[in-house]
Amino acid sequence: MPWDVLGLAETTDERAIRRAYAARLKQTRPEDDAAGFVRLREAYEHALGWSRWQAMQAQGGELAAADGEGAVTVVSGAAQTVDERPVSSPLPAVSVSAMTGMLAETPAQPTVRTVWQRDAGAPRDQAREALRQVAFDRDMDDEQVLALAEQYGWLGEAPHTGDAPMEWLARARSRCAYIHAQKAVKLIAAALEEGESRAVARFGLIVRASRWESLDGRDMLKQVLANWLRGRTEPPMQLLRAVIAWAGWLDDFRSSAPTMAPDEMMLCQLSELAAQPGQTAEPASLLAKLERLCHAAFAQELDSEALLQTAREDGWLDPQADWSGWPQSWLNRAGGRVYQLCAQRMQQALEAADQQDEVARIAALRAGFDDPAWLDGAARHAMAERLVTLWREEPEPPLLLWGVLARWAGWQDADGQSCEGLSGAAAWLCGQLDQERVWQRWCEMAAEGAQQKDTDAAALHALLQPMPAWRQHWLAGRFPLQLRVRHVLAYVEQHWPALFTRIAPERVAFWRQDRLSLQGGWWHGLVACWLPAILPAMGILNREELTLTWKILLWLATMFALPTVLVLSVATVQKGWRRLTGLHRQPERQDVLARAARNGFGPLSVLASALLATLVGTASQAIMEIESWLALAFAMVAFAATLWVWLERQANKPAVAPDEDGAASR
Amino acid sequence: MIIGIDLGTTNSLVAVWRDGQAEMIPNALGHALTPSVVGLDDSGAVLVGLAARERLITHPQLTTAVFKRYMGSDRQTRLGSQLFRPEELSALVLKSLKADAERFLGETVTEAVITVPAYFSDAQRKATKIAGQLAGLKVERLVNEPTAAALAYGLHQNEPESRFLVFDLGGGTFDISILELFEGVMEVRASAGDNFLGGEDFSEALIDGFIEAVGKQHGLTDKQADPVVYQALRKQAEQAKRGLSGTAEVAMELRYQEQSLRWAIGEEAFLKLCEPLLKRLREPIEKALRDARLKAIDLDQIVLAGGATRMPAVRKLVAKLFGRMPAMNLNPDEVVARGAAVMAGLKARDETLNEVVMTDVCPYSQGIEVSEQIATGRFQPGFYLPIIERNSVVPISREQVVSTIVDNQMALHVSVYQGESRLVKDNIFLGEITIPVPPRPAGQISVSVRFTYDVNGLLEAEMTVAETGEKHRLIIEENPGVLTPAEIEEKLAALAKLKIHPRELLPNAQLMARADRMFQQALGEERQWIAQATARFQSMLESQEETTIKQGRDELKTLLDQLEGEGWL
Repeated sequence: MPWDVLGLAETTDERAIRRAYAARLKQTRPEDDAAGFVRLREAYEHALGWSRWQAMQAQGGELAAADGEGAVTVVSGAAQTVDERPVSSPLPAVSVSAMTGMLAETPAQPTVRTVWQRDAGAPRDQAREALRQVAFDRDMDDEQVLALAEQYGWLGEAPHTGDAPMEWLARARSRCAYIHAQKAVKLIAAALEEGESRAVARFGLIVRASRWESLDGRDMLKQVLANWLRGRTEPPMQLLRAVIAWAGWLDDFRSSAPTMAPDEMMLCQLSELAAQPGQTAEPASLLAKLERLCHAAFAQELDSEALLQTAREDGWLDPQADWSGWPQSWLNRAGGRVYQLCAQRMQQALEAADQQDEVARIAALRAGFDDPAWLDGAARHAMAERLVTLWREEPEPPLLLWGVLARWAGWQDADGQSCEGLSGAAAWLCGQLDQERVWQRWCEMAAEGAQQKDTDAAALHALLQPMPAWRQHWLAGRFPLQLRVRHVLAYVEQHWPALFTRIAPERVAFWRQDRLSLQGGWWHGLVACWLPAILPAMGILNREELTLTWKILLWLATMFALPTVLVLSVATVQKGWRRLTGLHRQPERQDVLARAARNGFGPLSVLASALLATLVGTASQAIMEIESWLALAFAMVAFAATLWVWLERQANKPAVAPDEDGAASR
Repeated sequence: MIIGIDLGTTNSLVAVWRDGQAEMIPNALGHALTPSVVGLDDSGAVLVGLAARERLITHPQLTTAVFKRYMGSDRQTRLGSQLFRPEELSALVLKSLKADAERFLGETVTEAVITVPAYFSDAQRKATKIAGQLAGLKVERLVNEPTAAALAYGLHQNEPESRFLVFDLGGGTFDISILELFEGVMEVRASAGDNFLGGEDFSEALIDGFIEAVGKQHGLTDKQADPVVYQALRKQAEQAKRGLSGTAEVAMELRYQEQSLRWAIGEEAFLKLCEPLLKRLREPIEKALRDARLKAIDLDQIVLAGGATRMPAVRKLVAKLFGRMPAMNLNPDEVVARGAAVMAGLKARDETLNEVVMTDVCPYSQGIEVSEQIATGRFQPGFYLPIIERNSVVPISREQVVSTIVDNQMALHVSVYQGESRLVKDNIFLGEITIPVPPRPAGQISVSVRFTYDVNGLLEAEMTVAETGEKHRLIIEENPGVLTPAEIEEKLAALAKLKIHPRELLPNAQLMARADRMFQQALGEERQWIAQATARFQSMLESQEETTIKQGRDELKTLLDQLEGEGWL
């Protein structure tokens, strides 16, 4: 994309990029086309950054300039992490050796830029040759370098360079400044032997020299001093503060986007930390801790074991530790690396155990739990999410493993209850685990349900428990159970669609079918069949013209045949009626009418049987008037009571609801 | 025709891009420099320029200078019975420059490019625009002074590619810009500066030195106590500063309570006196170099701009800092105005400038206040999150994403700041907006904050709530210390009522003011001569004859020049 805006193919040629930018800029002037310019500028900056990054990569790890343009600082082992491009701010490096790196370069002929010409006192060629040597001959003696610089006035305002490229002069100046700075540091170091206050005084004297007034010279002294100070195991804090005050680093350090060299940043950090109220640690230990943190954050090569060890000891990722005043960006970076490392280890261990059984996998997972990255809940969460996305597609869900993971990530408590407010992979995993838990409980309930009647457990038993067909039909004979099973099915289908598919489809079909039930509750039978039959039967017993044998036969016939005939006929009529009207094709209406039709002992049947029994009793003329009317009244009361009890039960029916309240259905 | 104006702390200039080059426009006195001094004459008419500056000493109650330092603030200056805001005073100077340009070009001028110090803040820039508006000029564009200087310098460059640093030490402000020139693109890489450091501070240092050395013995302890004494001292200091450019030792003289005080100062002593000031010059340079990611040695040239860079002390410091002599091929007083004219030419699409494009940077970072997590679940507010980093090329548009930190947070408060400190309390507050967000667990609502900064330094913030796609905008327009449109109308009417001293009569007014001032400063015989010559000129003025007046003017000027030496600008 950026290359399209510039109209270039990917290139590392900085000149070409600049030319392309300049050409397009003349069509996209910032004051005329602001949006176009913003796009062009972004493309340009991206292209430049990319080409410089490529150039740095090409140079290899051992020589990476801290800054793309003309910087003399050469950082050995400069800091880049695997996944990040170096940003424009200087990264704290592990150590800085300005000159060694610089002189290692070959004296390539640099492109010639402006050179101011002075009439040299000495012949030009001589000055040029001397400059070349100073700039590139690294074996040259320091004193000799200084003498030459003095002779040709390279450090002054009118240097004799003999037309040499300006970059040679720049190198020579840097080298001289480096030598001077080294000398200064040696003097300060010698004074430090005698005491810190002496060193501070010596430092004050040294920087007053006019040599350190030029910007470049001063820069070099700052760099060398910073490098030296940082390298001391016992940092001399007084001297450090004096240096910081002289160099004016603090302002930059405290700004929102510091542009500092690594050593300077480290020293400022140390001085700020040591000055923090309530800081009890020794400067030396603070510096060591800072160095470890810096190393962890920016070093290119890392010993992973050592890194984990240090992370644990220093507690970078410990959410309890107070890190105020410490460089948050370093902590984030180091923390990020520790996290990456731990994540990698965990993943590798899991991959190794991939083909083994679940126990082995759990062991592999648990092995990584103590890694320091996981002190922080957010890190655990992120890692677990990563693993879940990997495991999501597994054909047979490793539920135990998942459970261990969910508890570790803090998504579920020790009892396996999911936390609230989960989203993404966490919500998915907990959903899976919850579902599984529910299924398990249903299965338990189904096993218990064999001994129960008409409860949710019994319904689940009928649905889930393996059983012979006759037993299924036998259970289906109980109308209340039929109702309960249908209830449970509807509930499961609506709330646990995934679990619904686990119920054998033929079972579902079986229980969804309308069928006549011959069994009822004991009192259903009593009220619906026996009571209506009992009075006519008594009437038969009262008839004096019959013999005892006939009395017994008729009594039995009345008592048993009458209810059966009643029930069958009413059910048949209703079933026929539904067929005729097509109601059986409308499942949503089925419930209302089917209730009556299916239930031989339902209120309609009770009414009909009571009526018929009374009619038969009356027609026999052997019963006293009063008896038949009493029978009728008794039947009506019985009917009303039955209807009332039945409706009550329908209204208050609880269904299987394990997720609303875990204990409700038990 | 668009004109380019350098509205300086001490002097202002106007120039125009004509026939492929920048031309300086002279004022009524024939000078390129018009002192940024405003005063009222005895009849209550407004005097601008040299005449007013002469009256600084004789009529300090009716005259004022150095008001550019108060641009963007509410500070009012009293002249006679009237109060003036810094915008109005600047407008009066601009008006006079506009009149000069109209006379020179023979056509009405309505548009201008005005230069401001690169380090001017948002409020100060707006105040400058308003000053232009009050003077009847449409300010097409504000351009940073060092950028203008570089533009003037860069056009004379033959090198196809170069990097240079513009060191602009004016009367009241100090600016550093680092520029890169390639393929006809002038790119400002970085700018830095100090809004309260300039040539005037060196004068003040001399005045303080004077009081310390001789004043105290004669009962002169507070330099501000008597405006007449103060202005006389300023003039002496200014002359001494100039004198130190040529000779090894100069003297400052003052008549104070019938005594004549004299203090001789050498170059060494002067250097020591302004050491703290010279130290302050170093820091912005280091900052700009750091931001541009350059070393001093990488620069091809150091360009000096601003009158204060004529001081040898400053030049020496520059030479020492950079290890080379700075470029001096352009008049440092005029270079900014010339650059403004180039900018005006660019703006007017002059075809001689077709191949030049300039890109500038924003001098300050702009960002918002955020809370940072200091430990798990603990947040501390008051941190600064820069969205546009300082020294980014403008126009620019940048985005950062922030998120909620509390469960069920209902609103997000966005406060916009300008500055470099990590803590917002040390930065400058620009504006704020509260945006409602749907309640969700902490961190689930993210809002992207986009800042757009245009070429004139106008900042706009746009907040987008990711979940709802709702957009909110905040345009930073009103600042404390910036006039509202209604107030501008009011001020325009007030300015229209002011009588302006007729332009043709300015040379006479200036000469009379100078004679008055010299009369006050002189003693004995000299005083007599001046009084006589002034009286003679006065009578000639009354004759109202053009030739007589001109003759008298020349006579008086010759006398004054003899007594004092050439007037300085």
